[in-house]
Amino acid sequence: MSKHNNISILSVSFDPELHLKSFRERMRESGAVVSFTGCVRSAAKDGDVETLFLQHYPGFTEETIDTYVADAVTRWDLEGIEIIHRVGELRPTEPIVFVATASKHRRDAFEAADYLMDMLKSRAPFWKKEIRGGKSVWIEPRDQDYSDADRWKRES
Amino acid sequence: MAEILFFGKLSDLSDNLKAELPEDVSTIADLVEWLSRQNEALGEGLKSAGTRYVLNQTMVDETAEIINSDEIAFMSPLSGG
Repeated sequence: MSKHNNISILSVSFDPELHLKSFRERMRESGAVVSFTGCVRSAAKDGDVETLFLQHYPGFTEETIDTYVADAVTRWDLEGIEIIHRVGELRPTEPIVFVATASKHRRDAFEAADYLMDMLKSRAPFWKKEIRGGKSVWIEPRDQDYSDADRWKRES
Repeated sequence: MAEILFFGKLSDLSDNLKAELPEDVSTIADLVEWLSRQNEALGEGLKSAGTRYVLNQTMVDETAEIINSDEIAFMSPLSGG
């Protein structure tokens, strides 16, 4: 991996603004920096989520994300990628994922961040359990997540 | 000892295990049968649609051969991040 590409899986809360600031400092020669932060929604359609529990497969999850990072680098002209993903117990409004990309021009950074988020949402090995009303339910990606990921299929 | 890991819904059915594989367990499919005999609910989970197998951090199918020093993971359908 390039020295400007980082993948972190964290089991404690993080501050996306601080990570964006340090990414921008590291990538100060890039013309374009795009970042995305995903947070735990405070209300789901059938009742409020009290807690979200995220599980990953240490080593395998990072390796899998790394293949998408490597793929992004072949698709777009990128100068740096930062991915942070939470695991463990999360409360509503807490940041769950942060993706930042840097490139010479904006289009590469925008599209790569969009692509990486789609891969994280449906292809990365994470398992998510929602706890609401004292009951826990394992969840699967929405159909929209799969069709979002399919947008990036390359003509073979 | 083989290390057997469970992720997602499957992790509710069993803790991760360290086990000495019996002689008649030489593939992932054999391991599924062996685990099913010890824990019926886990067996049903392992045989349900979408279960994926990872051997020493590489995805494999149920015909993959396993030995006692392996790390074998059973993954429920992914939730995504």
